[in-house]
Amino acid sequence: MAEIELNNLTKIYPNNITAVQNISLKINEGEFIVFLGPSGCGKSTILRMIAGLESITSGEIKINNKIVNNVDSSERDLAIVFQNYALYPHMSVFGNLSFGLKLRKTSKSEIEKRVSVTSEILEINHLLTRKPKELSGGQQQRVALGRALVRDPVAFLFDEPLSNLDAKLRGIMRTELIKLHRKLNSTIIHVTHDQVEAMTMGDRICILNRGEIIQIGSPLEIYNNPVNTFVAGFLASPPMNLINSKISISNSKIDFYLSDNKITLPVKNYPHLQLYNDNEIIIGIRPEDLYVHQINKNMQELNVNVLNVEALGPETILVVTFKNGKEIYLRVEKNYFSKYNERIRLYFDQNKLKFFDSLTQNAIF
Amino acid sequence: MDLTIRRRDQLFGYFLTIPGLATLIIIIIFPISFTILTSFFDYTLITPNHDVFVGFENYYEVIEEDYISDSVVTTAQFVFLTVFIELIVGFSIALSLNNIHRFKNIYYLIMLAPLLMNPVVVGLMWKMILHTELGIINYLLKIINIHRFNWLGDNSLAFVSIIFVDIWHQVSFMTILLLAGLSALPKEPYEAAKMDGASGLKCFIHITLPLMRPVIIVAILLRIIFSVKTFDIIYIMTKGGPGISTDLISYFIYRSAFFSLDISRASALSVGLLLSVIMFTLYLYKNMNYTNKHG
Repeated sequence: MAEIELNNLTKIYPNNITAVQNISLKINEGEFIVFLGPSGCGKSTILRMIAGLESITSGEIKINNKIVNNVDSSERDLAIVFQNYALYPHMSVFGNLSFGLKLRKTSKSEIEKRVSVTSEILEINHLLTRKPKELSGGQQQRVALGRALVRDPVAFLFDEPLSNLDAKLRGIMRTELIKLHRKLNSTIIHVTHDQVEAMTMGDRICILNRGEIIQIGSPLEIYNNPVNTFVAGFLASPPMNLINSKISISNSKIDFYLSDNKITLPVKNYPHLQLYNDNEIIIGIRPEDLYVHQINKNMQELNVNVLNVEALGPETILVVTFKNGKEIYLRVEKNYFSKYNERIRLYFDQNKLKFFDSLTQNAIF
Repeated sequence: MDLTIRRRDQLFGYFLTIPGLATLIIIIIFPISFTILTSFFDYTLITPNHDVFVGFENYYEVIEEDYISDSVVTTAQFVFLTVFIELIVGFSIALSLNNIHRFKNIYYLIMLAPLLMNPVVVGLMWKMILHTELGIINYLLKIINIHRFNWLGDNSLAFVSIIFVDIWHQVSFMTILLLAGLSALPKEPYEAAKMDGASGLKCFIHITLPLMRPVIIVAILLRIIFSVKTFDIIYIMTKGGPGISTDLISYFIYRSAFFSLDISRASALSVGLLLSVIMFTLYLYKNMNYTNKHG
């Protein structure tokens, strides 16, 4: 198990493109941390720098308090599972699993023992004589995982290992990886752009955008309190509804319009909004915090038109529009039905509203 | 209806292949068939027709020929040495070029220059360079007080010189093939191997060589086929001499046909050479491919 520390880590490519900018982060021993962000945000670059496969422009990487900037990847004792698995095509599954051990001059009996234990954990013991091209995607993924596991490294680096699997297999492997982490209690850095993976797997999520860390925290912390509109809009599907509106404060009341719906809030509950009097802000509300029925008397109302009803099976996503054409999403019960363009009323609890500065896009707390 | 359309498509397909097939028949199938036919007849240039069928007599004559075994051994040595050295040198150059990113095109151009030259030009050029009295090599050796060599007139030196010239001319072919293979290799297994703890040399032994095996096989096979057929530089530089020291089988056949004017025997020799090359290539391909599949 390893503790990994990144201090002011920066990566600038020769064509002057900054992939990673001033990243500082401490990953605790035995922690499962997920790097989440859109394509090109620098998450894989950070992972590759930790692995030693990518050079560092500035900053430092420490593994167990030892700076490893100039340590070759072969000596960092880390294991990586690549997105495309990167199995050795000319070796059998046994060869793939044992290659790292052979290079470390492990005894033959020890190699056989470790390969046997690992292949049993991953249920690939019947595939040991096969070549990678004779395996399915899921089996190849298990072999890639096995190649990392068998070496018993100080930390595992997962570079989107589930993204090439179909939805069903991805779900299964997600659970397998979580179980594996519980069993081994090893340090894992998992890179993904899939927010379901991030929410379900990580002890902590590190959200990245344009080479910078935007927010770090537990999945629910981030979900409930996004620091800006990027995080609010990135996490969950459908994401948080974000609506621009101008607020005005008078007589201890905050008024704003969501299209043609006037909303009034008591100033005493939102003191931080006083600075924004007569200014535009962004109001956010999660799809599950909007209702088609009134749950309690204190709920506020919104009049909207139905645009689309997306029945997903276990739930239904309702797409509605305000009079000004702005679309918002909400989750409703699975049997909900409504006609196109039907005028309906939505309800929400004002305490569930989030506010963001329209200039900086940061949350107003 | 469907069947008619398919039939029409098939006919159109055949129609399109006619020019290619016709060329193939004229320049390949006809000469080969004619040679095979001639090898079973007593064919002379005075009466150039297939009147007297002699069966395998020409073949027996070839086997009983005095100098044939010398020529076969010389050819085998020539083929082995040129292909082996070209593989080593070509692979080394390909590996270096694969890691170079700046001025790559200039290196390519320099390396390709010999291959772009006509073999006759290569032969004439090197004949001058290696000339005992006027050649630049002996001139340079003289400057550093080394006695001049009779590069093409000495029995063992002539063989070495021919091998050197062939390698100089053909090594870039091997390099280009291997370089194409190297640049097409996936990057990921190398990164995985690095993470597994492999050094550069271990990566070469355990990743590059096994992944390159199919390309190496093709490169070796092609070079063997070309090397067995080597004729131009021998014709220009040594004419098989001195003595029979550079008398490769192709030149031996040429001598039989155009000096001894024994067309039938030369045809039998050609057919024998063709069969041996085919059999050897098949054997090598099968064996190397077997190790590739099961190794």
